[in-house]
Amino acid sequence: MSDFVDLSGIDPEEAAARLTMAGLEVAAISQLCPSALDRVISAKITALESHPEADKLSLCTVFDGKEELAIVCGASNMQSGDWVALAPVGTRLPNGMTIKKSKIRGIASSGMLCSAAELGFEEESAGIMILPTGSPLGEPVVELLKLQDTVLELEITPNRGDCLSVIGVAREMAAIYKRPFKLPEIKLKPGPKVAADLAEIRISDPDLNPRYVGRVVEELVLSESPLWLKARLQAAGVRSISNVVDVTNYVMLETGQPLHAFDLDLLRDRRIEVRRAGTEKSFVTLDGIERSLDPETLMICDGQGSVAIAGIMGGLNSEINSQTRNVLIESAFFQPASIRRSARILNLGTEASYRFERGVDSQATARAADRAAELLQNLAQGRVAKGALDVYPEPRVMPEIFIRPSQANKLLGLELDFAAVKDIFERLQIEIVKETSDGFTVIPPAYRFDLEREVDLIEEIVRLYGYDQVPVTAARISDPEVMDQPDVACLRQLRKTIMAYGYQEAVNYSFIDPEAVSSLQFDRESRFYDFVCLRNPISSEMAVMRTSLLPGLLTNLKDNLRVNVKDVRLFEVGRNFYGLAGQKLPSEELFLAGVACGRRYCDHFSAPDGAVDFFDLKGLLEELAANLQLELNFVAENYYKCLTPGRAAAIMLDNQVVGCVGQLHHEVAETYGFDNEVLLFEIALAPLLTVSAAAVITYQGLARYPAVYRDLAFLVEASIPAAEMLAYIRKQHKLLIGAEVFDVFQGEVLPSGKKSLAFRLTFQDMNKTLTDKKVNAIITRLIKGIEESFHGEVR
Amino acid sequence: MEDRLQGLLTEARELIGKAGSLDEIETLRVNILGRKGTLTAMLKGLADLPREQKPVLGKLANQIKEQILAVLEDARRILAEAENRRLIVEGAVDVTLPGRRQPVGGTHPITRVTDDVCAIFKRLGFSVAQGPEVELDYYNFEALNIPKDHPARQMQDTFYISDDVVLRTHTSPVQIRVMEKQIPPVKVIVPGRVYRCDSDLTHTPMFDQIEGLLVDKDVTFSDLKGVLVAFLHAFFGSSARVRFRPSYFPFTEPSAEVDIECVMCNGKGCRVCGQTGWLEILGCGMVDPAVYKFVNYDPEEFTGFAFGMGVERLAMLRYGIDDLRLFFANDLRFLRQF
Repeated sequence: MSDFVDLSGIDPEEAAARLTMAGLEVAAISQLCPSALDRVISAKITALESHPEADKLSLCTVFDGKEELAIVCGASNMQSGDWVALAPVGTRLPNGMTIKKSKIRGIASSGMLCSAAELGFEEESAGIMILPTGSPLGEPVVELLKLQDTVLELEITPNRGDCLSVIGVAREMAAIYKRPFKLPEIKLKPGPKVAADLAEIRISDPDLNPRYVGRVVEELVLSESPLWLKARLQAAGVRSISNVVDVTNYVMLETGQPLHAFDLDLLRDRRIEVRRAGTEKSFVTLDGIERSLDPETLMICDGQGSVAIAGIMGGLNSEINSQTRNVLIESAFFQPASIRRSARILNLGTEASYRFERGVDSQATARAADRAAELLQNLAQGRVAKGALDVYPEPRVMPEIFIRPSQANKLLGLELDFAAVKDIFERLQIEIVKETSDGFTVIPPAYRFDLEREVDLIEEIVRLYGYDQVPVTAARISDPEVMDQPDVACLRQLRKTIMAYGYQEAVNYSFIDPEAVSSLQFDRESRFYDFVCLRNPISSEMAVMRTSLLPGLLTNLKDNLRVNVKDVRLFEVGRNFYGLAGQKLPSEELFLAGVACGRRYCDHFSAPDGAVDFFDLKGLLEELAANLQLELNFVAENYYKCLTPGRAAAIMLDNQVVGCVGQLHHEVAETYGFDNEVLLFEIALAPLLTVSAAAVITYQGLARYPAVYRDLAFLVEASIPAAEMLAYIRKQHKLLIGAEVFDVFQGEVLPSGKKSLAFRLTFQDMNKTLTDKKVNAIITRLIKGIEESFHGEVR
Repeated sequence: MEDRLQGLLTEARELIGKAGSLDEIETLRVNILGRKGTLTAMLKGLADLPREQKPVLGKLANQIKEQILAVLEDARRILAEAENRRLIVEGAVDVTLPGRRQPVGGTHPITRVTDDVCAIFKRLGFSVAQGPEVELDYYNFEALNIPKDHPARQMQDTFYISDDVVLRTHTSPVQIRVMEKQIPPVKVIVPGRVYRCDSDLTHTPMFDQIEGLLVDKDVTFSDLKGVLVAFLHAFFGSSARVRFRPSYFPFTEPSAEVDIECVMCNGKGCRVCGQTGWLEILGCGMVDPAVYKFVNYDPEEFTGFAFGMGVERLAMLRYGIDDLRLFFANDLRFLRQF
């Protein structure tokens, strides 16, 4: 970066903090080479002989400037007189190995000669590293090779494609630190040949490809890249391939301009044409995969067919290979939207497409091509042909934007003057073309695709001004407190009640396995099968949106039993989703469900506790209803087929089924591996919350006269529901204010098919003390009524 | 007669002294002082005595009755005390034995944190709004200034139901739904479940967000800072340092990430904060004028801000939870800790 901006006096840590605060988040700071490598020094091989005991080992005598050391070495690529990298005894290498004085096959070795891989400079090395002859001795190798550098890893937001390069970040550094930004001069020594004679470029679809620059480099010597280049690529996470390919990648990292190198001799007719794929159906990219093409996808073609998918990936047919001698470097500007679309359709993202999608600098295409040519000239002995092939039919015109400092201040809560705004624009190379009393007309630099509107510039102003400099106001925190909506308050109350019953809240994924619904044996025609299906689920177990909370809770129960938590009470409040059914969006309905298994309370030494049963859950639901000021009724109907017949009830609110409660059917329980009774319920919350939210609590005066209590038992048909008799009794007389079942029994002394139901009745007159006579009269009428309506006889 | 009375007293004292229980005392009382008791019989005999002896003996008899009553009472008290002591000793329990409990359940940590966050914003004058989890592409992306093929779509891996219907990837679509229905001032907080097609150690395909939106006349970036600093201080404590740094969201401009000083290491740098000393808590920004276009607000008239945060992340920081997946495993050993 110091090639582009003066970094003197800037500490990397501090620079990282400043970049982060300017919107270029630094995710990590590291050293290009681990600091332990300071101990690896240059040395010269003064003598070389083979190991007397082992063919493959050599015995080297090396001089590090101070003393001569004997070292056993396994490599064979060195000669006497070579300069090498010496790790003296005590050095700890990046791979964790510490060099010790040792004897190898009987010969003492006091150090190690290192390969580039062993020093972490590259992934794999053929032999040890040979340093330039004549280098100073005893110097740290990292210094010698100029590998001492700090690496900043940045997270670039999608709007800042211009910062996907060293130059881009250097420009930001220059703006942040108010230092000049400079581009080094490119020194080309163009050969006698003229590029225009060697290749031809034609853009057929300039709407998708406004500019295409080609540069020809001939007579290349394909080889490995120098170490500094390999190390820099590795720090950027790019694998080194060959000097030619590495140069294109390196220039992309440096300038942000993706380049592609074609083997010029493989381009038929030595010609490039840029056009839409059209009727072409498929193309084999350089990774060897055949890809089907969309007619709108932009292709790079030679005289006879496609050679690359523009901006995304080159073709196998024109790839740089070991025979490559002459190349055509492509440096182009493709329309971001077109590349985004093609990359999405192909489902193929590359470093190149990533940059093209975000926009590259159309004014810098030629320079990037020149830079690559320069590097090929210097690193691969290439001969650069004279002149660039630059096709740019309609130079891109950057928009003029009008910006009012007053609007910036209004939006930001600042009081910046014109001079402050102007200073920021200058630092960002935003050109001011006109200044009036209310603002500036400006033209942003070509690499800033994100600057199109006034608000975009306002963001730039505050970004450089400093977010931390913006004052904190209390203007919007002094509004009066907002109270809960009634239904939200009801839901809160409901959660409190169910928690008081010992239930823990669960949260399950909203997607379920459709098989789980089948295992609960719901009717095929029911809405439980009215699935909203995901097109791209994580797995088949999460393929559809849930239509019931029960599959999730039953799985939770199973998981808890597996880890030996035996007393389980879980509830969940969540949405169920029911089919699209012609609507634009599915129906999302809030439900409450619970599952219970194990002991009713905790076991206590004083008395053992029973297992939770149907009436525990029903009691909970009744209490919930009472708390919400509403009445739920329970009828013996098996609406959920996963419940045991005879131990299941539909939950009714105002004659509407709102849910179900009961005991899990043993067949279903078996599929889950449950041994004990499992109780569960599920209930739609919307109707409950609506009724409850509308309920008004009105105080009732307390009785000032004693109540009278009477017990009454009836013998009735066993099939008569207690609730019906209770309902009948409760509406007999206004003085009969309460009736509860206090005993139920069947069998033994009773005739078969009959049961005894005993009720405790409460009589109360709010205005005077009740007389026995009055109570008796009501009871007599009640007994007669029960006889007539239920064929019940008093016991 | 006098001797007989004195003898009775002596005898009574002796008998009462020997009595070992309250029942025996009662029997003695009846035997001596009851209707057929010995003293009662003697008192009846007074009637037959010569007239001049009556007052003296009568007085004596009454004194003796009083004395016997006193002795009885003393004995009764002593025995009653002994009996009480016995009952207490017998009734003692080992108070160190465990009590009888009726376990109370609890809310999920996600619910707890959501409720706490919403409560803070309600105090600041925000009302709660909700929206669908299965959402139109239009609300989730288009109207938030994220057209098809926009690079920002890559930031969020989306579950698709159909070409136009997705599982919402953030709670932001509710912003649009609220603004469509309401003219400013708009001041809402939106808790909700969101989905992204991503599942690994640090990502679950479903998670929870809380979104906020304030649009009115003259709302500034300064006000945004004011509201969020007030919230973060309420949630993390008023000593928490807060910083705003530039970021990018397609539906806000300027955009910011808000960091708080790492609660684990107090800003010194640790594993949780990636050695930076800061924790990313929220994304926010001034609502982009492009968004107003979709809801027919005039950006020259109204300005506003929006913010969003992840509930699981807040819960992990608050409770020191180190595994995101625990939130959805519903293991009671985990849930009972809250």
